[in-house]
Amino acid sequence: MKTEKKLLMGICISLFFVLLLLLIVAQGKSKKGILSPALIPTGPQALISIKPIPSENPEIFSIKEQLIKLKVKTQKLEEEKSSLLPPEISFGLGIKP
Amino acid sequence: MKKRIFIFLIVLALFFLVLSSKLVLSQETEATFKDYIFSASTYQSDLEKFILARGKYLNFKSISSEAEAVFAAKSLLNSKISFISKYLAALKSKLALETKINGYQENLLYLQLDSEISSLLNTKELVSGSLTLSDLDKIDLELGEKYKNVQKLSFKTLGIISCRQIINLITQVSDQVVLLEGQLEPSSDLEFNSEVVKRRLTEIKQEIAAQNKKINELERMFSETVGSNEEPKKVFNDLNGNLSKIKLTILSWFPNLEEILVLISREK
Repeated sequence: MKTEKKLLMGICISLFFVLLLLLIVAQGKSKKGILSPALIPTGPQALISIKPIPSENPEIFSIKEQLIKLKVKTQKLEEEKSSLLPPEISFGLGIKP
Repeated sequence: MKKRIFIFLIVLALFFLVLSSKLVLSQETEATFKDYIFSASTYQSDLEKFILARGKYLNFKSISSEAEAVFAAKSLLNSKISFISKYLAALKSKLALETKINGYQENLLYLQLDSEISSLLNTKELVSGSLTLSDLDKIDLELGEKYKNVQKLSFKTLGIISCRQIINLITQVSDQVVLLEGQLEPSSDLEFNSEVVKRRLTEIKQEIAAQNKKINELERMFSETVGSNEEPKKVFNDLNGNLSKIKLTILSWFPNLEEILVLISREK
């Protein structure tokens, strides 16, 4: 019985670390850039995305950080929209048989 | 004790699973978009090849130049179909990411996008079965007619995505406002005039409610109009104009919220 419990614990702990590793890898990949390099903030947006200096109150700091993220997200909306507009395509081969 | 650790690990594993599924969805959107961009370049290169082959055929009218033009036209049509399909797949993925396909409308759009993709695959079969330039020309013109519907559907999907993105943003800002309000509550060792801050937060909350109402109304109107005979691009542009105004309103909330944050953090 004891061996079974130990085995179960071992499986759980290894599962936990595997998931953690997967998450780290996935996050790393997603940070490489979504959609296009045009979405990487430049100019004033890059300045906005600089993290604030942590204030003494962690809750206030977290709200501040979230607000900055939301502000950047709002500014980015337009670029994302234009990248998915239906492409202009011409039809008809232009050959008279 | 061991039981507690076990439960903790199970909860943690579930949490990671949920989080990773969200990441997978966003990565899928990224992958479909890359496919779309790649298909655009293939289409461009096939178009250039076809223009050359067509020029040769129109100049010489020989059997070999005709065969070359047929081959180039087939490649062009296939890559054109792939280009449109990949675009629809990217749009479908984006719709799933932004709306989670929760409601009837999103579900319907998702199915319509799927059916357009299947219909395009049928056209691909027609292309491979065609042997003459006139047949291929006819298929291309029919594809053009089909593409009008694709455009209509795309503008409708984009409109819904845009509305949902703004609604999500407003919800997230609203969550932060609630958290800010929480900072004002019971700990009341605040020396500063919390009534002023409360009033400003209430004003922002009222604006949030007003904008939420406005965007829901816009989404409803957009869905009704884009389905009618109106030019879909025009309806979409009109919606965008209104959404840009809402976006500016949202951006105007941030300086106010930042000021409130400064006031609260100074006193805490």
